[in-house]
Order: sequence, then C-alpha cells, then structure tokens
Amino acid sequence: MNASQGQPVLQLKDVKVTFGSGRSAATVLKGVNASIQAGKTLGIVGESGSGKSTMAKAIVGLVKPSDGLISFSGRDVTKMSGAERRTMRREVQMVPQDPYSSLNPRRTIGQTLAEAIDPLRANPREHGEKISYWLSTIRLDPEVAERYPHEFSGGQRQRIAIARALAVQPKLIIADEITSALDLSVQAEILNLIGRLRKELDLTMAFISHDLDVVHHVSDEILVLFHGEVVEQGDVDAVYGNPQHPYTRRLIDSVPGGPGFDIGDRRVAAV
Amino acid sequence: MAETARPRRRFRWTTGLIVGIVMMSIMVLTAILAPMFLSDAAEKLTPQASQGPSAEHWLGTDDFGRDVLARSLVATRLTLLMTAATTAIAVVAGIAIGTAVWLAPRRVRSAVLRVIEAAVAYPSLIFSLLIAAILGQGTWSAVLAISIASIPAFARLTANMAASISQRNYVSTARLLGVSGPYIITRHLLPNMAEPLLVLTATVFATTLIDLSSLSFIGLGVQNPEYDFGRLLNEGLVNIYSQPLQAVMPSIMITITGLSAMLIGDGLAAATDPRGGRKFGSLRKASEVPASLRADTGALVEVDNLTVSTPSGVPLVKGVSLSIHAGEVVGLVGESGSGKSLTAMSIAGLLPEELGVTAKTMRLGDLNLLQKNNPRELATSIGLVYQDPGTSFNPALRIGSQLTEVSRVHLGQSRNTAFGRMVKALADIRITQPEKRMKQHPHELSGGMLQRAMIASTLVTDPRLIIADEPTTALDVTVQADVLRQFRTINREMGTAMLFISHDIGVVQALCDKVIVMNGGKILERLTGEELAAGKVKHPYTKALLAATPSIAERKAELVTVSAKDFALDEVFDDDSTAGGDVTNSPGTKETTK
Repeated sequence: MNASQGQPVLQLKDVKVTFGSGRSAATVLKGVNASIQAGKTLGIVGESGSGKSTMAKAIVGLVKPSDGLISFSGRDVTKMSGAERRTMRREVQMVPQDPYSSLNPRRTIGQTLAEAIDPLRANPREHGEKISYWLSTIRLDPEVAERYPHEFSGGQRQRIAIARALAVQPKLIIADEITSALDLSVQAEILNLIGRLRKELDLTMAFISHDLDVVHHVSDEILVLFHGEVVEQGDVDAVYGNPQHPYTRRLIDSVPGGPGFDIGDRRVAAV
Repeated sequence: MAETARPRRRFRWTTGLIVGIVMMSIMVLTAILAPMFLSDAAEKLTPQASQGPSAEHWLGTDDFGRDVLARSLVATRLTLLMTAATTAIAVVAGIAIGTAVWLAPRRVRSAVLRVIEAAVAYPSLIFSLLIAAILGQGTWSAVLAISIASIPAFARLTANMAASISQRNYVSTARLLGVSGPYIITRHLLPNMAEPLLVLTATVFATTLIDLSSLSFIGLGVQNPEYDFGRLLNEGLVNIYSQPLQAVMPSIMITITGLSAMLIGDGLAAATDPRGGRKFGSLRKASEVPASLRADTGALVEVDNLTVSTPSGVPLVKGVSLSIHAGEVVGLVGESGSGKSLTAMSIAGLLPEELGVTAKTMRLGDLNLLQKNNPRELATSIGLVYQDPGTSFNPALRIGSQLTEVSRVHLGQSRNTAFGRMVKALADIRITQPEKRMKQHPHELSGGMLQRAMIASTLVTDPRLIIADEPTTALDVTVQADVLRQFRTINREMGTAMLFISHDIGVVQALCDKVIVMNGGKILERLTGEELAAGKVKHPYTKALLAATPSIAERKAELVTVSAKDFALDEVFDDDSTAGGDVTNSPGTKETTK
C-alpha cells in the first residue's frame, strides 16, 4: 500500500456536466462526488446513459464541467490556466475501450510508445530502452516495436494501449470499458495483467465498466452511477454483499449466475 | 502467448490498374521523347500545306505544312506538364485549406465549409472559365484557373476526413499525451487519409486534362505558337470537313491520357478497398457424408455432421451434430471464431452464398433444411432474434410495419389483422401502450424494448423454433435480465423450442436446458444447464473457460488465461445417451486449429 493515504489522488466535488444550452440542455452528471486514494482502484459501474463515460471525459479534461471541482493531489484542474492544464494532462491517462481504433494503423508500436514518452520528438530510436522496458512490463517481446498494429490480436493491442498509458507515468489511469470488446479468454489475460500491474507499479486507477463481475474482480472500492447521480459508493465487498440502494440491489440481482438472479422457473416438461 | 504474425494486406493488382499504368507510361515516354526527335517536323513551316495522308505524313499536314502526327505527339509534353502542375497545385492547396478549415474555430469552420460545398456543387469548367476570363488568356492563367476550380474538392475531402479521423481514439489519446496540433496532423491525420486522396488525385488529373483542353479549344488557354491537345483541336476544327484527320489524333491522345488516369484512379480505389476481391464459391448441398453414431430421429431439429467451409475450402464448422427436442432450450456457447453463429445460421438458411454447407441430415420437423425451401415456410417455421436491436430495425420505417412484415407477406394477413395480432403480442409481453409503440419509429424506443418487440414479432407466426443469436449482448444488465425472463416465459407457456447462441456462460447456464460448448468449429462438450451451473464439467476447455470468468459470487485471485488453440478439439463423451457424438470426432483424430 502507498504511504500517502491522506491526500486523495483524485477528488470530484459536486461535478455537473451539461450538454447543450437553453431548452435542449441535458444534464448528464448531476453533482457527482468521488475520490480515489493513491494505490487504489475505484470501480465505476452504471448502465448506458448513466454518465460513466462522461465522468471519465470530465476527469481527463475532454469535457468541461459546468459546475463543481475536480482536483488532482489537491490542485483544482477546473481553475487552471491553459499551460498548467497541459502539463496536468499527462498526469491522467486513459486506456480506451476499442483496441482497434485506439492505435494509429500507420505507426509502428515503437513510434506509438515513443510519442507517449516524448510527444514532441517521438523518435523510437532515442527511447529504445524505455520502449523495451514498457513492452516487457506488459509481457510483449521488445522486438514487436518494429511492427504495425494490424499484426496483433485484440488482446495484444489492448496491452499495447495499456503500455502507452503507463509510459507517460501518470498519477492516475482511467480504464474505460477496456475488456468489453474482448473475448472471455482475452479478458482474463487483460484482467490478470491489470492485477499484476496494480501490485508491481502501485497503480491508482478508475476502472469503468458495465460488467459487474469484472468490476468486482479488479476494484477496491465501487461507485454506482444511475442517471448521472451516484446512488452508492464504498468498499467493494460491502456494496456487493449488502447493497443499500434499491437500484444497486436490482443491478446485482440482474447478473446471471449471481446469487440473486431469477428469471422464473424452468419449463416442467423440458426433456 | 504466441505472437500472431498475420501477413500485411497485399496490394491487389487489377487488370485495369495495370493497363492504366502501362498507357500512362507510354504517354509519359512520348512526352519526353517526341519533342527531342519530332519538333522539326511538328513546327517547321513547309510548302506542303493541307495534304492528305501519305507515306511521309501519315496523318497529313496542316495549313502551314506541319506534320499532324508529329504535332500531336509533341503536344503531349505541354499537355501533361500543364495537367500535372494543375493537379499538384490543387492537391497541395486543397489539403492545406482542408486542414486549416479543420483547425479553425467552429464558427469559421462551418462557414468556410458551406462556401467550399457551394464551390464543389458548381461545375468546375464554368468556374474555371470565369477565373480564366478574369486572369486573361495564356497557358499559366489556364493552369491557375483550373487548379483553383479543383481546390474545393480536395479541401472538402480533407476537412471531412480530418473531422472523421479526429473522432478516432488514437487522436484523442494523442491529445491526452500532450501532442500538439501540427504533430497530430502530420503523424495521425494525413497518413490515414492518403488512400482516398490518392484516388481523388487520379480522378482530378483526368478531369483537369479535359478542362485544360476545353479552355485551349475555345481559345482561352494555350496561345500560338505554343500548342497542346486542345489548341490542336481548335486548329483542326477549321478544316473539319476537308482534313478530318487533323482533329482525330489530338482527340485520341486526350482519350488515352484521360482513360489511363481514370483506370489508375479506379484501380487504386479497388486496391485499397479491403473488402474487394472476394471470390464466390458454389453452394454445395448434401452429399455422401458419413452419418453420426447416434442420430436422433425423434427430435424436432436434427443436424447431423454439419460442415461449413469457405470458398477456398478452409473448414469453419467441422462436423457438428446436434438435436433439439420440442420445448427444449439449447444453448451454443463459445468464443468468437468457434463456429457457433455459423452453425445456427446454417440451420436458418441465412449463410452467405459463398460458404459451402454439407451435412448428412439437417431438418426441422419434416422440413429438409438442406434444400431450397419455400421462403414462406421457412419464415413461419423459424423465428430469428438478432444481436443488436439498434441495427436490425430500419430507422426510416415505423415499428408496426416492420414487425408485421412476416405476417403480411408470408401469411397473407391483411394489414389490420396483422396489426391487431401484433398489438396483442406486444401487450402479452407487457410492453406498455402497444398501439402507440406500433406507430413509433425505432429511435423512439429503448434498446430493451426494441429487442422485446422483436421477440414478440417472432411469436405471432407461431414458429416451431426460435433462433436467438447473442440477443442480450448489446443490452444493459438489468434489461438483459428482463429479456431472459421473457424467453423463459415464452418457453414455459408456449413450449417453443429455442436455439440460444451466446458467449456468456452465465446467461447460457441460467436459461438453457442443454448447453453445447463449441471451439474451433467443433463441439467439445454437451451438458445440462444445471451441470454447467454446478461446475460439473469434463472438458478441460470448458473448465478453463469457467476459471477465466470473473464472478461476483467469488473473488478469484488470478483468472486462468485460456488460449482456445491450446486445447485438443475432441469431444468428451459420457455415458449419457442424450449426448450425441460423431464419427469424425472419434478418438485418435486429435487435431488443433492453428
């Protein structure tokens, strides 16, 4: 565990995000509070339209909150000037959902990682050592730096996307549905990798997913979003074991194979 | 995990592209060589004016005694140079303007885009005539006029493509990495729009040639004593009745150059289309396929030794046998590429024509599914539910007309009868306000409601079998539970048999009476739903799949990583007589997919 337990890495206070204006305005986040301590993983669950992707975008700065406060290590991002924001940007990195559109098909893996290490020059030869290091961290052969994304499977691409986020050495990593486009066996590979990296690199992470099984597997804490509001948050085992909000209850009971799952009795005459 | 070294997509040479390149090379060679050897014959004034074809002058001479053929060949140089210069200016300026537009603030961007779109809609020749009239006569004013007229097309393509590529994840990730705007353009945007721009360049080259020739032809372009194809045509027009050949040669040259540029453009477009070049194979029907060990003649659906292969003969489904009894829910579970959807779709008769399907038996009741069946009989015997309710409905039509289509077209019911029955069916599955829903468009309903409506519509024809291909994969978990509940109710109350395809073990074990595990186009294990739920599985692959699945029921320290190709593709048999097996899977024929 990390020593600095006091100051949370990320803190959201009453964050509101509104798209559009006037009569067509839609408030997607309605005053969200959340915090992540160093070395911890916060699982964010919710169904489509709950605002979980918007929350991720607000954290990385791709969406501007209309109200509220987002702070990193105690510094408020929403009130920063352009230059400060730009340096701040590299402290949070995002691993996107789709491993096929997240890597530029015309750039080698080495070039992609070099850009993460040094966005200005992005020369893979200069940073060869670091590139090899990050590739071995995600259990890929350093030689693959010469290759192009289409030569890799979905799981390998997702690992490369993770390496790209790691190479920036951010304080916080946001994983947005990173296993939902993957097959079961590949999902296991990525979840295991994430599990090992959390231990080895002491990662602080926000793990967003609609899959309650997956979130349960990777998270320390969990936050349940429903129509842009946080209905419940707390320790994973506490929330899954004894959900307080009826929506959380319904969500957990809807997981096939879970203890509360019930779709009615089987047909009696079934052979 | 082994690296998959897939070969890079190979460049596809089409006949058109090769012909185009050969023709263009000949034109370029002519442009280089002709002025070196033929300029005397082409430009020196001789007394042999206005002669017909002869051994000395194959196409005759013009009013000033110059050889028509030589003039046409020498004119190639100026024409090609002008065309190339025009195209180059249009491409460079167009791309520059396009990216600038994309970088501009939103208001400026939409305003400039409107102007560009208006310019694209305006005929470029008229546009260039206007510019040429302003700039005055002359070679370079023609070049400038036409390049300005061609810029909007490039600018629009660049701006639109930049807008679409900038939506891709790698661009937004690059922003997060702190990459600045110009680098995003040179590293991420331009390389990914090269192909369409190249194709457009070839096309613009051809149209530019014609526009330039037209300008010269009407006297606004190249002026005496210089000459290009258009100028030659202009000179030939005067003598069109006495010396028709004088106009023929430049016309042929224009045609050849334009054609070769077009062929190159089309060839490049075809070569860059990854879907191109598919070969269609013939559909093979039932043949002498060995029967399985235990055919189940009492079942509602019987599939015996089904194989599906690609036109080139690669097997995708390798001898699958299964049976579904009346009132039974059978689940097909497996990862992508396991052949589960192909198996189901071949039962529904919905495989692409180019795939070869063979089987000993494939029937539904007494309906032989191996032959071409009456579409009405097929449509009313099998109900289909697809994965994504968002894309399986036509957004332009009302829900009602889409849901009642089978009843109206195949059962010949009147619009009112079909509508009434559908409303009742929707009400039966507790969709609120069914009459109103029927008049709505698909986007007005939620995904879960669309999927439930889709299931209801398969029921009105009272099918003997419902095939559901990943029907809950695109749905939220609470909606998924609703839809599964609905499947369960239908099965319990109406006794409809179902074939349920899913990659989700949790879903399959909850809903299905029997579960068939597939991998690499083969069946590995047959279980009951209860056996799967209790973890009583025999095949190592099924065990590994269970161990790879995270679950809220228990926290696994480390998930087992499964690699589908590490497992032997032999079905495990048990002594239960309901488990069918087939001859090709007999012990000893161990094989693995690559």
